Amino acid sequence: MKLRLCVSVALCWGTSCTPPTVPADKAPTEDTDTEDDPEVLSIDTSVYIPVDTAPDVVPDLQPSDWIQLRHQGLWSLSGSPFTDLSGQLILREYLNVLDTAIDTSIATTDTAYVDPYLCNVTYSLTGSAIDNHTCATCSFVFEVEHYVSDGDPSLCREPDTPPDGAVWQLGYNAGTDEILLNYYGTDVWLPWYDTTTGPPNIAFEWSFSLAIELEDTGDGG
Amino acid sequence: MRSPAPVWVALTLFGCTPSPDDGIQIGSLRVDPPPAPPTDFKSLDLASALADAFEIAGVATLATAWAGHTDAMGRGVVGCPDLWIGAPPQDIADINVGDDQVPGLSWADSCQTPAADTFDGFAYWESAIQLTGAEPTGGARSLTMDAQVAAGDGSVLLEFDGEASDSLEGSAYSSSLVARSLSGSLVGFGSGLRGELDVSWSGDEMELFGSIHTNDGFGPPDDRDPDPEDTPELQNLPSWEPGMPRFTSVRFDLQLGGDCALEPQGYVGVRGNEGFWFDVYFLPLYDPEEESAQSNAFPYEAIDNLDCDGIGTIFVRNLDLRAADEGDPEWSREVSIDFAGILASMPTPTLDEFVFTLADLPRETP
Repeated sequence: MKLRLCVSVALCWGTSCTPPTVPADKAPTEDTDTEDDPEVLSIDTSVYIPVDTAPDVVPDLQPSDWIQLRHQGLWSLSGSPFTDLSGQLILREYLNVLDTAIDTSIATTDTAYVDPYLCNVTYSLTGSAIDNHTCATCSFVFEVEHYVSDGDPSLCREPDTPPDGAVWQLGYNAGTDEILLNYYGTDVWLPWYDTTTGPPNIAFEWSFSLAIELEDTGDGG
Repeated sequence: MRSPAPVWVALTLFGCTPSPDDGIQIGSLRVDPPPAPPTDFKSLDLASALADAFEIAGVATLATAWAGHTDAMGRGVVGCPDLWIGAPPQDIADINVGDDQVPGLSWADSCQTPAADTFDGFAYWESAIQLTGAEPTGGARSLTMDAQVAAGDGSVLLEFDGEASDSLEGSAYSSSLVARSLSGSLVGFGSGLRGELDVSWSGDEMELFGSIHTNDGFGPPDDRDPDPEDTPELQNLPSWEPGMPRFTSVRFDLQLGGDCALEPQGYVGVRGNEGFWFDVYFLPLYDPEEESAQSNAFPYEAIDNLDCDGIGTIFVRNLDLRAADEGDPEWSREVSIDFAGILASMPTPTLDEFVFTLADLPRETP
């Protein structure tokens, strides 16, 4: 009811009124101020965003849980110069410290078995060298297809986990011993992996730790 | 999408003030006799001030905050700040992350690096490259932050309290920024800005809506004589100082494109340091027949020039200056703006600026 009243009043104004005007005889060269009727109003029609007075400093958190991201891979190159690539990439994510007592290579039907990995994906890699690329620092560049041979990449938290069938442009920089990625074809070449052995069998690895807040499952665990 | 805020502002004004004697605009000063405009309103270079306003709009975007944040993260080390997958703990920041999407990344800490840089607060961000087939055709980002990053000497590198998002599709850029504060040497602006602004532009279109307050002000130095007899509008302004920037804030409700490439629909305003707005109205933004609060607020009947020519009509303190114009052959209430030049100067980020991954963050070496 109140809202309807407001709207009806607004419509009335819109059709019947005109804006205030400044008469020529009230141009500022003429002092129009009087003591009884001050011309200056302390009205500011600004639209302000409220100032947040909350402190910016948060407690010095000590995260109790961490996701460990681990990537390991191997490229085997062939041809001279290198024309073909085959290899493997293993992505693993686990919480805090890996329980090495569990041998995940053994298939089990034990219902009490707990997979220590949040994500454990093995890719088979195949690639072909390309000359038409934009990596100025790369010794060579391959288009590498990621074929999932085991595991489910959708379980991985890492935002840039390759989906099954992803084809990425990856290059090798002999000067820095790095593998670089053309990020989603943007021609932004990011240092992606550090290598531990050079061509023709390039081993590489990458690791990262990220804090995580675990959901309270309510089971006391 | 247009914010509903102006509707509510208008309804509040209409519903909670006595019936006016004059004026139909939102925020009009409904007094009789009408108040005087600021004494220097004829001597100000409003075209230049409006160019500054568009420059401010061009950088009051997520792109600016994002660049400051990525630069700040380049100063981090392993453990300072602590990096989180997804949002920080809910007792620190209540950020809603959808269940059906890959969570973004965040940091939350109060720490100091070996180089004495400090990180205090939290930030949560998401970024994605959009593909058409295998081709990257766009990007999208968001940043929610309430934090300060400072150098060892105490100088603020970045402070952002707010949330913002943007996207790039081809050459079409759009940004939505809500900033309770945005400042620091990594983003410019001197001591910063605050406000809320939605912008978008492409090669031949532009849309701006919202308002931004600059803490340091902008525009020419204010050379008014503070004598209350000469400048009554400066009474009771203890923070006013001679030579301070003449303007403090900008506001927009503006759409450029469509049938007229020379002139937008809507208005742009700059706020003087005495608190009075200088608004320049261009082509009507709303249909006069729609009988909405906005259409009723737009001063159609007080604007003579409705041609597509880039010329707008000045209102000061929401006053129709027609009589002042007619009484002074040396001054005009109309101002010409080069919108093609303004549109060409709006800073559009490139797609590579949307790339920000774990590879850009500090990590332990294997």
